[in-house]
Amino acid sequence: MKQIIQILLTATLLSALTGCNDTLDNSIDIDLTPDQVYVNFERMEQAAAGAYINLAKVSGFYAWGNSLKACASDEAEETNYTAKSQQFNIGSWNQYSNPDDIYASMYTAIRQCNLFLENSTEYKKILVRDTITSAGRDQYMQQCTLIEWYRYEVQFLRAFYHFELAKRYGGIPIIRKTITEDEALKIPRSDMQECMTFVKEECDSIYKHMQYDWIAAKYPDYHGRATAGAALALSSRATLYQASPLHNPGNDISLWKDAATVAKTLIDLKKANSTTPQYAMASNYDELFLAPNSYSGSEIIFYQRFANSNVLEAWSYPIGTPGGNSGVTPSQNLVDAYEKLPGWDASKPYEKVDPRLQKTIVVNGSTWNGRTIESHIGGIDGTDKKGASRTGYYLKKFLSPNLALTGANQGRSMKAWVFFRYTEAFLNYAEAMNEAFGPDYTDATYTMSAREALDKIRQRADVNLPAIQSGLNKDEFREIVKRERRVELAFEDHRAWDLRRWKEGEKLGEPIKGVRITKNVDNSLSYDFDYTVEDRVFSEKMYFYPIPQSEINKNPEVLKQNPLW
Amino acid sequence: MRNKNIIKQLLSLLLLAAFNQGIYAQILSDTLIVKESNPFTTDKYSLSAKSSVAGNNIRGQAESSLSNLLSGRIAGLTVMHSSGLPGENTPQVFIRGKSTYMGTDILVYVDGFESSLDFLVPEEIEKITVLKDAVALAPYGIRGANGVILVETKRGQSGSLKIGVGVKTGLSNPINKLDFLDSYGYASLYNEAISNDLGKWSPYYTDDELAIYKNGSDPSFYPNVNWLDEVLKSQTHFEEANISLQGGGSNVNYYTMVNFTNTPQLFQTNNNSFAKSIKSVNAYTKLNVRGNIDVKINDIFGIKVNMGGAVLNIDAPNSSKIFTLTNSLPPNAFPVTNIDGSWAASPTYPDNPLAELHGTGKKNYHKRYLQSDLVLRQDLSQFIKGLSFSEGISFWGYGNTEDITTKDYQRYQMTRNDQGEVATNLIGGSNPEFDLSQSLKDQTTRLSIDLKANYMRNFDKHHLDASIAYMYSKYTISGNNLAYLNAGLYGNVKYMFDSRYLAEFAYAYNGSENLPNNNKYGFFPSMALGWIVSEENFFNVPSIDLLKVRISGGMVGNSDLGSTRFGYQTYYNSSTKLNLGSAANSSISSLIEGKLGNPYISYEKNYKYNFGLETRILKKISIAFDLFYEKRKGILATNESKVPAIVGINLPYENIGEVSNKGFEVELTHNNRINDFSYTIGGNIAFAKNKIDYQAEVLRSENYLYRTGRPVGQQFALEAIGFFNSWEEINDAQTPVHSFAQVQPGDVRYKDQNGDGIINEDDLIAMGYSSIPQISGGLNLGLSYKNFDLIADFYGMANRSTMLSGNLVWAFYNNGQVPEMALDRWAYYPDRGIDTRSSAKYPRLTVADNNNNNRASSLWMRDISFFRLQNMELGYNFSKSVTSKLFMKQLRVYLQGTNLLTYSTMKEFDPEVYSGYPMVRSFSIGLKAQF
Repeated sequence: MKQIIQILLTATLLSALTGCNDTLDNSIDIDLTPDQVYVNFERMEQAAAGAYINLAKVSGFYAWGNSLKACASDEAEETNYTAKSQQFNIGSWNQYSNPDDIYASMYTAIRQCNLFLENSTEYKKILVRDTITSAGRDQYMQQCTLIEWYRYEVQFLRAFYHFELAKRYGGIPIIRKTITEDEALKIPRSDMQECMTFVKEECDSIYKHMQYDWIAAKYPDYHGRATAGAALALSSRATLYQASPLHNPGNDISLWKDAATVAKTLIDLKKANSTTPQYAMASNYDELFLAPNSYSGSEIIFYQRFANSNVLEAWSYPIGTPGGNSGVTPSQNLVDAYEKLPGWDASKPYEKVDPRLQKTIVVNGSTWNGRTIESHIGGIDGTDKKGASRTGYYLKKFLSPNLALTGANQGRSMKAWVFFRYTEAFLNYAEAMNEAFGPDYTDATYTMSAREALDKIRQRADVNLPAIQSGLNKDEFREIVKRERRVELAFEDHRAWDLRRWKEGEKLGEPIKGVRITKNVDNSLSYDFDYTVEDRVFSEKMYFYPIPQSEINKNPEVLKQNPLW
Repeated sequence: MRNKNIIKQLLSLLLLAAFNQGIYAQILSDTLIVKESNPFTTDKYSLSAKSSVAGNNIRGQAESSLSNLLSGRIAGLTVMHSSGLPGENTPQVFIRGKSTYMGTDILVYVDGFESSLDFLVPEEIEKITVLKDAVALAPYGIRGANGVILVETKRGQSGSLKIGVGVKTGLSNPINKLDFLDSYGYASLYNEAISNDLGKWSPYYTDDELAIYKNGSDPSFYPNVNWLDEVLKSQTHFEEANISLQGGGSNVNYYTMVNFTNTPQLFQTNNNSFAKSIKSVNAYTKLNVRGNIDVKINDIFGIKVNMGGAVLNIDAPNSSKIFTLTNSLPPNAFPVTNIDGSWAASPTYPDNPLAELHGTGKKNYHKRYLQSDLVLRQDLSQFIKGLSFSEGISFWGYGNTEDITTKDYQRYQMTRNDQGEVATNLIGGSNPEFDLSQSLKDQTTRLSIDLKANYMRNFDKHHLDASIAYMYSKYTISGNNLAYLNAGLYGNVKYMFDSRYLAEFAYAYNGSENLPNNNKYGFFPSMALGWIVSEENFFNVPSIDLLKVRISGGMVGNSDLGSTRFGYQTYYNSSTKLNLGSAANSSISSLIEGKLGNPYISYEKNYKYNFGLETRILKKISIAFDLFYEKRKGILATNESKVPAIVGINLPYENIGEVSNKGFEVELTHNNRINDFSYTIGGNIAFAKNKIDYQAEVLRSENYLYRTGRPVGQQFALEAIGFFNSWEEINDAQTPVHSFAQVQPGDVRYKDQNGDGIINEDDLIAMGYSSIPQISGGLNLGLSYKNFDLIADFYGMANRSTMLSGNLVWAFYNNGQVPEMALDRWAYYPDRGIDTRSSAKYPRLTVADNNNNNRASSLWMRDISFFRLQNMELGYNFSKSVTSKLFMKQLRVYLQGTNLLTYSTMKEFDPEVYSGYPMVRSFSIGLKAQF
């Protein structure tokens, strides 16, 4: 008997110990496996969010640390020599090393979009359908609508990611579904026209099905998801690029007309079931870029909001502000672009000038963060000081004023990167109309002239610049549009791309100028506006980024490099 | 399923056989009742490639990590010191170099169970053995590829009670002080650097200011601070004491030990009374305890109980910036404190190293380690001659509580007006109360089970030893981690004929939780053959006592796939939240497809082959020689070179990489005695050279750019061929375009390797070695004359390179300071009588970033072969006549010095710890007594 018990005990012990595969199985998964994702509303929503978050890769904030891509254009110089923009500025970027190489990361983003679109096709069957209670029915219907919206939004995101690729690399492979390695090896680059047409057609086909206004639809918590306006804004930008000299060397006027039409559609976009315009230009230019206006303002079409922080301020506050590191410093080249008003005097260069100058740029003698800025030589923000601005200017746009940057109780503020705002539609419209018809043309379709569109921007309440005279020719007006665009959209990651599409890349190769201000014995100031801060490099091949060499090497027969790289 | 059955059947058979003998009711022991001696436990008849060091030969030093003390002690074990900071100085350890480009974690077994090395102290160690070849590593199967370190702790011997007492105390000081220029040197070179940038002589510091720096007459406004000297004391002390008791009788043997070390760190204590601050952050104490007991209950049953543990109390600064600051902060940035005692800082340099040390709070670690084993043994020779069983269970635990005291400090800057009045202005920071609210906890545990059956018989000239065992291990890290699980069978069969011919077959059949269900287990066989030539009748060389050759081959694995758990499964991962809401108050979690799973993922296979030769001559000289070749297949790699990015997937791991590794080890020991004079010489040297045979490398534009075919970690760099001496040279059409930056005279000139007229990434060539040495070794000398003895232990490394970078070598880099080597810079200001063009060894200075000069090139590459006298001891053993009066059996007093001498090919820095908390040199006096 005793022996039998022993044997049984032994056997039990052994079974427990030698469960073998069971022995080595933790029996739970910490993360979700693919078949556990598209099973209910919450997880489908999170998968859609997974397509959204790739926006961070093309955002103007945080893509290059705390610096801005404006430093790789003639808008600014980066104080920190190790910032990524320097590689662009000295021309040492190439197919092996490119700080703005988003080729692989954008296709990862596109796959997240395609995965969502393919796996949520049957969303009406996937969502929990409770048809017994009326509350259950309502919830089911609501969830169906929300997922349907998500599907259009993800389609928009896919188009946006393709646009961001094409703007950098020129024509790129268009990926409309998830693909395998073997399929990938057969897909060639589409040309630029095909890419832009793809973006436009996607946007045109979806925008009417998208939500117009999350607040009006009683979904304020969803504010920030893409809307019909976002799709139109993307379409407007894509059609403008498509018509521009770089991509439209034969100057096909019909492309400019397309661009004008799309921009006009966006300008005229009405709220759902209403005659009220969906968007309105903000009356206040300087507050437009600070929270909460930077995401909830009437002008904002599509944005990405980031957590509360002060790292951008710490990076770019003037060196004389404790915790400030100068960071992104506007160039004299940009300062020169601001329109001088009647009565302007070179001895007081920052007065009687387009008011947007001091709303965008911190200049010597101005008051900011509760103190007077001294960027003159010898001043506490002076250009001769270690770690100070080398241009003599500091950034104001986007930066919240008066944040404490040192110590335990630091100030922080919300940041939102605006991908599309309403004003851009007017700039797009003015440029396209001028190229298609000239500055003063109107008709039944194009009820607003290019000149009127620009004046709308110039007559924003706190800008209030004189109206543009009529009767200019196309070439004269073109320069005005370009200057207006440069000034209005400064630091918003447009300039480098606008110069490229205008075939004015050589301006990216012009020296960056700064100001040197000397305080004379009588306390008057002398200005040297021709101080060269940095020589820049731009060559013909740089109109397009090179496809990463590693990608060319994987598939040299099908994937061809851009010219001259 | 098949696996399951095999294991169940085997184990059931074994245990049932035992229990059916009706011995279950009785329980019994271990101090082993070995009826027959087992020849295979002696080194002479071992077929494995392994090397060991006795615990008595491991000399404790001021720093307390055990693995650091193994440098140069064991042939084939490379120990790379990483820091001198007690508690944070765990070195990188390699056995026979590297045979993979992935992780090389070595398993450590203490008294037969998996554990860790660094909580132990030398006092409790009997022997440390490193296992190297396939037959030695076979039992570890799927985890054996990187090698294993076995530790045996001391055990009691039958006999009367022996009490050992040891005490030691000493002083230690840092051995490597970094050489940065003082304020005068900094300011003088700053003038030159900024002039270089501006293209004409335009000094920033006036001659008057330079003079003040030189004579140090105004330390408040023209300070000259050596920040490392401020942060670290020049000297600290340490103490160690231990007591051990051992003994035993016919039934119970015991060994117990308590060891206490106190090694205060070198951080400066605080004497700033201006603001609330921490007094000191120097505590480092470690208490070790051990109790090992062997009990023989009767002729059949025995029990072995081991308990070993350590309790550590360690302070650390709360700031992690201190050494970054001491490496970069210029000597004239600001004084340590302002004249009113407040912490100084400036807007450009907002952090003060001393204030970071004393003003930001501290961390206090309480670490606890415990290993406790219980092993039951049954000798069943009464029933089946030669059969024995053992069942062991071990629990290993590590817990750490980290109490964090946080605080901020106010930074003030002094200004002086034209009247000479000094004011201090607050420029940032705050002075809050200490915040004691943070505490982190960290816990790891391991449960190990080992069930073994052994059959050992000697039949006339035939000797047989066979065993089979089942092992299970569960390793848990606190937090949201799944346990690491291993289980399986292992065993071996050893056979010897006539003490001349030996054969061994060893194997493991084990698995890991980290592999897919259909592929969790692997079979890892190995085989060894040996021939003791000196036992042959025909062998008639009286001077040669032993001559043995052995050969082994086999395969072991590795299933540790780095940070990748469950590589067979695709997971969706939570990623950044999507921020939404018109009131900026809502967000949605996001899910993204993670790394694709590879259902065919498997363990790495490491094929190891070894040839060994052991000899002993004239009973005085022992030589062991091992030659090895190993090839690792199936190393995980992502196939980056093939899959186009437009697929958009996060590439799965595949078992495609291959690395081969070959080398040799030689060990030599020589003991001799001439009258009162005796000496021992021990030396070992190991060479290991690896090569990446395949790693799915991306296609490269030039053949010499490939990493495949070169050693793991091979350095690649540009070949610097001097400096540009003029604009004519730069603008010469024959000069390649240096594309990393716009160059000017004084910048580094590189060789255009592919002749395409552009210096870019394509011009990197393989240069030097990897940072892991190909050659490492040690030399241990012992001398004794009458009552005196002298011990000297050396270790060294060769065929090893490093690429220096950052503030340590780049002057003014990121507003940093200036290393002494910058005095050899290129400079040309004929008006000021400066012309170093012909003698320059360092590029022209700049206060800007210089992408051309500050990058991996032969200019910054250093060979770091070195040889270090790690330990030296002079001892005196009191004679019996003295000790007997003191009721002692033995008494030795000694003087010890560590890290006394270093010869290195890299002159600028210590060859092992370049920066951060330095290694220390120590001098101590100690006493060891036995009662």
